[in-house]
Amino acid sequence: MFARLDRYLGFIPLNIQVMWTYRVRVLIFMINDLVLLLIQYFLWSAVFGGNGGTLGTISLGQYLSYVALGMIFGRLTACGIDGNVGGTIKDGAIAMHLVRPYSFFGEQVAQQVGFTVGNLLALVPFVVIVAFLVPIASVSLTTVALTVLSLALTYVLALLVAFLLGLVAFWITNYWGLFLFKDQAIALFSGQVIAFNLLFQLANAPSGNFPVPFLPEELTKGLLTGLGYVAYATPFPSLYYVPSAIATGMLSTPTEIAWHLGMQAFWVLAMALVVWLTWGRALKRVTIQGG
Amino acid sequence: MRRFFSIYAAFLSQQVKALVEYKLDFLIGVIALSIQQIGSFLVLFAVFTQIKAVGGWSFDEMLLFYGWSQVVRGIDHIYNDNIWLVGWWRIRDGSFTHYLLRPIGIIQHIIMERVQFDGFGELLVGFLLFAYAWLRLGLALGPAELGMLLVFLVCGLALYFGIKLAAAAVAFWTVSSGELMQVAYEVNSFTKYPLDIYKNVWLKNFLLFVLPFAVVSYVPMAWFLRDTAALSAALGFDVVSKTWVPVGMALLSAAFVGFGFVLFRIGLRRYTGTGT
Amino acid sequence: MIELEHLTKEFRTPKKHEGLGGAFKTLFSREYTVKRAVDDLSLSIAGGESIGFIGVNGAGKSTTIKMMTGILHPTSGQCRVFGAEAHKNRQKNAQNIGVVFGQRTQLWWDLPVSESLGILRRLYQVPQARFDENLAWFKKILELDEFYLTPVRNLSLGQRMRADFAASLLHDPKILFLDEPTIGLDLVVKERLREAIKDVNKNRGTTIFLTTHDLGDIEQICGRIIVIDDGKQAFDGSQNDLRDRYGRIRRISFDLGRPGGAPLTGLPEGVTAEETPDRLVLRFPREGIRSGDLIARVVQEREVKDLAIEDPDIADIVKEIYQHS
Repeated sequence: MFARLDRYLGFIPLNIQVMWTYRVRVLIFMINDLVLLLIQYFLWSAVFGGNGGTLGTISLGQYLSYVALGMIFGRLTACGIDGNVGGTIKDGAIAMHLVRPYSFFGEQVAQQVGFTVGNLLALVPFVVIVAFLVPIASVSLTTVALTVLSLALTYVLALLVAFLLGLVAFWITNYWGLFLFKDQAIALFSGQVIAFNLLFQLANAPSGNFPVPFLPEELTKGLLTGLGYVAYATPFPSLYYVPSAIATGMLSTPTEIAWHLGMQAFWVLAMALVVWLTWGRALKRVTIQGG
Repeated sequence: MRRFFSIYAAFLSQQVKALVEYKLDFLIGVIALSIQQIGSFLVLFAVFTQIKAVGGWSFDEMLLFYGWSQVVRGIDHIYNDNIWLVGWWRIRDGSFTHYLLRPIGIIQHIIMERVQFDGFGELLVGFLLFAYAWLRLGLALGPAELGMLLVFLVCGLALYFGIKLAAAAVAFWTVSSGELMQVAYEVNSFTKYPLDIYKNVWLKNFLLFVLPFAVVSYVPMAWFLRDTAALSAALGFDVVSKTWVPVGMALLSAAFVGFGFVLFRIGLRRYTGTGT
Repeated sequence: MIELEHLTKEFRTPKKHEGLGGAFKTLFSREYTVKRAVDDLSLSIAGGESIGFIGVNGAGKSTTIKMMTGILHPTSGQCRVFGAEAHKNRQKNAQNIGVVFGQRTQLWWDLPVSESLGILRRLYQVPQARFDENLAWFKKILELDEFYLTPVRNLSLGQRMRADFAASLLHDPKILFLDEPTIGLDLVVKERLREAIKDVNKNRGTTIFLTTHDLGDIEQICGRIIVIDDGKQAFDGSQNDLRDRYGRIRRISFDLGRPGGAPLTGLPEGVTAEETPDRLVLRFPREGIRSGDLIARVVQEREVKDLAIEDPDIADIVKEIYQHS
């Protein structure tokens, strides 16, 4: 696929330029992130503050780092290609891409890399703000290495998922709802609203409180644990939770880390297979039915 | 006015038809927005198994804030969604001129063109949480309370309306203001939780006076839950008497609506001056 | 019905500078370039007229229409429609004008034609009986039935234009503005639209104000032609006036039996000849030269099978005007 890499390289600066053209939009993303970050910051500060600064084994600083890193990693692995691919399919331009002497997927990967580099620049001010709000803990070199590895797996997985979602445009007329659905499902099942480590700790801790009086303790805990299990059955934790959890030490034992990295690798392979099969079917659709 | 409602009804019946035709899209939209709410709710739920209060508020009180904010947001989302198109596209692609060729007010025209059914998901979940919390907290529900809720609802909606209109009007100068609208609107996420947890004076005042989304949910619900002294302490200034709170809210909301209208007028005048 | 007095419209655009530093400069500089799109235009249009408003791209046609419909306000001068300033009475005037933009639909993209028209009926408060009457007429003349229940987004361009045309006339406007209504349409649809416009003008007394680049539209529809050039009025009069003023050149073409020999000689001054083996075309000013003399001369020199004397068509004339401008 990458027999001639330089063919694709041209897309990278192109996409950085595109990002620059849409710099207002990038700025908006940053402000939105900042709003979300502030809400999370103050909410969790109040929550942890109400419990003496820790919940289970997790400290406030650790959790705030998780939130902040989650956002930064989220932007780093954000994919702009689902809309790209979907749009190309919708307006029939896919045919134009198929006649060019390189693979459509490769082109999208290159576009994505350009997009990320552009995003990287946009991230700088955000990181500065985060550094002000969140205490920076020193971490070991091993942790850094493992985080980077996990982040790389997240990146590839996010790319595959985005490409797949774009391809779905072949079969679905209005994919706006689907994209919204994806975003919200990711928020709930990926660890964005609450880290799984914290969720499981809360669910298993002895509780003197039942927020909803007609839900007995077992049911309350069962619900929370159940949500965690459901989430773990999806690829979403691999898309968000794992790298930040490793970096902040929420996942710390070698077994835990190995298990989570393995899970990420599994989803990368599985998703690659799904993309490959779907792309084949989609291609047939173009060449046989003319799109 | 009769004409307005007659046309509104015509658009509505069309959209209901489309809704039935594209059930799946509608369902996906509603479910997606509901998932978002369930997520926020779940965080509270999990956290409150361990602790009794966040920022001085109990679980049920937090639900009350959250539920009410979603009720107002949901209604706004339902009836006032088309204005987004003005900010994003209508000026840019020139289709705004059609509004100018019609024998009816522009803003009326924009509003009646579209009902966004996705908002019903927010409204429903928000209302259920709100009603549940209201009952759990043992708050009275007589004509006086219903009347006040109505006043607060109108104030909240007016505020959304003014902010969105003003942000959309910027497009008259910049061709597209969708991004700006989005930022202004996104700030309302702060209203999901009580203002007290934002332990920063600037942020608090920003949410009370600059983009006063705190006035949508926090102030009215705290008004029901707290006495004058506690309310003053929470807001950071002396409210003197509880009577003044709704009055102040009404004035602030009216000011924002007025600002939105004036900016829209000026922008329109500019638009018809340059035609771009 | 429409009175323009010294109507002028200027657009100010900030001076653009090149490059990144230039972009920054543009942002803060107060320098403007002023473009005068409409320049001291004075016109008077009576009820029931059908005006063809022509000019090259950028001559100021659309700007003028926008001012007449109240979308744009003038820099100076007056633009009165129904006796009142158009932009000040926009909403009121809207009830009495219909507008068709060839490039842009006024219908709702996701709604079927039927529903779009129903909503417009309510917007303009057209009585149901009158609406039904009008609709019956549109259905007949524009054959709306074949796509009446189709959503607008699924219509072909021709269908969409027919629907748009119907939409602009539902409320019996006194003036109908058409901005390039036939652009991109096939001949059959074009013909049908022209018939409809003529019909509206003749049988309903609706004033027609039409801009177009298609001179067929003008020839068939317009009793009066206004040419605008660089914002200024270049001509105003009937089709015949236009011919008299610009169409002085007459043309005779001969079909030849066999190729002619030596070039023609002895033709009067001012006559130009163009010859191919089987065809000869002479062009000459109408005044001072008699066709009969020329024909007699050619018949002596050539074997003529057939001949035709042609007055210039509007297209030729307009082309000439454009080229001079």
